[in-house]
Amino acid sequence: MGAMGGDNAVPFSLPARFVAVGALSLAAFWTGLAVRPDLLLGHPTLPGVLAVVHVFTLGFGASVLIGALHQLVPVLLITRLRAPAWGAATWATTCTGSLAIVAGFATGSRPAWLATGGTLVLIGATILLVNLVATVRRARRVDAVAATVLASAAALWGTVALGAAIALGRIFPWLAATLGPVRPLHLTLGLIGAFVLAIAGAGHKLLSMFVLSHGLSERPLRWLSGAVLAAVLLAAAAAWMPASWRSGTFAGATGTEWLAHGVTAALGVALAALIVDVRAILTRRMRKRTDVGVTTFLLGLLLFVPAWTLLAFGRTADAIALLLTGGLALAIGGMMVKIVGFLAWQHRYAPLVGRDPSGATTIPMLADMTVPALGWITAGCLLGASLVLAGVRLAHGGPAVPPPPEILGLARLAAIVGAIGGWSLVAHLTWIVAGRHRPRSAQTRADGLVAPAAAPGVKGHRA
Amino acid sequence: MTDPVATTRRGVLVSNDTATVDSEAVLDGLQAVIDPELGLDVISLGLVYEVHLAGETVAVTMTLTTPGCPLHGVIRHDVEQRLGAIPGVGGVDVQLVWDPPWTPDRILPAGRERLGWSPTRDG
Repeated sequence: MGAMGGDNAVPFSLPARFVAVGALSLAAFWTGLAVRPDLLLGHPTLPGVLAVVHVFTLGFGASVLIGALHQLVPVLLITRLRAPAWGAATWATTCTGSLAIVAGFATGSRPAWLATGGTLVLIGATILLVNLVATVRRARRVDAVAATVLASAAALWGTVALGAAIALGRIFPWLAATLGPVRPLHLTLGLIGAFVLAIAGAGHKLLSMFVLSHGLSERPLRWLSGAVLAAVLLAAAAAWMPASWRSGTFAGATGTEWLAHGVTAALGVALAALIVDVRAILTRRMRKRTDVGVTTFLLGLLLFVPAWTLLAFGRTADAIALLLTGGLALAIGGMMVKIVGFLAWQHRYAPLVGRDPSGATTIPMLADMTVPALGWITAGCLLGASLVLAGVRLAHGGPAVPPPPEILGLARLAAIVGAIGGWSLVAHLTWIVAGRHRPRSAQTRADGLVAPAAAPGVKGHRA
Repeated sequence: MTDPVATTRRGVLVSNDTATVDSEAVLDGLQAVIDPELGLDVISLGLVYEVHLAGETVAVTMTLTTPGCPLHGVIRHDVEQRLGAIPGVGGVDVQLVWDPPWTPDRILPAGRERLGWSPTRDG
């Protein structure tokens, strides 16, 4: 099972520090919105909205993704990470840069802060990319899963590079003029190219191992990657095609509108491929019961469907809000529980395995590392918050209309529920890393039969 | 490594050309090696292909549910330690192989039940 450590494992502290920042950022995101719920309904270009969006995308999404890439890529490629020590530099630069960006937006779009932050995050992403490329060169084979995850790393770098260029364009007008209207590309590359692709690629590998699913085709994953690439290329075309094409009318729509339809269609193909892939994994699974981490992950994937539907109906901002607060938060949050549980087990208990053949020492199972109740609170709150927010946004007339008190009250309620979910995730991960784990799972008996789960007196895996 | 009198027990091909090591004790030892994610032992999961006893040496040919499994170091170490502690065993040689690949068909009935399969509903 598993694909996250073993002989190719990096030091526990490397992914853990990224995950810690990620969990705290998610909690801070919702807590901040509980204080300023109007930002949930504000125009997406408002500095305050951009500040909270970057708390989520950089602080939570990118941080967890970077931590996971350090851990997952070497295991997928069955080789060692080229330079684990570089991870500390990546962490320091991306964290500092992200703070500067959020602070820059929060204080009214300060160009110097944004440019400095963007440059620092770009340095961190470049160190990561060089590290991963050097790791790929050691690999004997790169399969579809590894290729998908590596493509997400490249997309992350592209997103960060565009973001840094946009920030620098606020200081150097010639750069902004040269770049053109790249914000939609920045958005597409980040949300779809980096996050969704990583979730789909890593999810294919991890989900199939967690539920013990075999004999899967890589074809859906290839279709998904191809469709995401098409969406990104169409978004790039929309950004950099000649102005006359952009505004010119073809069959009743402008060039920009046609390309936006193309992006939506490509994402529809990607979503269909993802559904086919996940359905195949679940249909073929040998492990019938799914735990809270896997269920949370699947709930997140489920929300990709209404998010895409909103996009297809032209509600782009609402689609992004649901994708971020629901789809990505749940999918990433679910995998965080599984990954951190595994890493903590490897760190604390793997060295004890086999050390005491007499059986005097008991070792917990991976399932014993988690507190299911906390996991369900996290999943329920994040799901509830995202759905309430989606409803509030749909009921509201849009950012141009000042929200009435009842709408603002519901937005605040969504944020408070989300904050409970975020902090429960922090508490859960803290327990997983530092708690006193008591074996409660079944263990096998020497007669070849398996003891029932939670049987009285069963004390877990004896070392 | 298989001799003509090899027998299949608990889904494992066991061959023995020595009387110094108890093959049942070896299988019991393997049954105590547990995959911490699935909560199942390597015998019930069908991960052990063959056990060959020669002199004081126990040779185990086994696989994992997926290539690149991060727990392979832990599981291999556990096998070596547990079998090494059996009286009469002087050496343990664990070979991890990927051919033939592991398939869910190898999971023993009790293991399937533990994974949530109903013998009547899922077969």
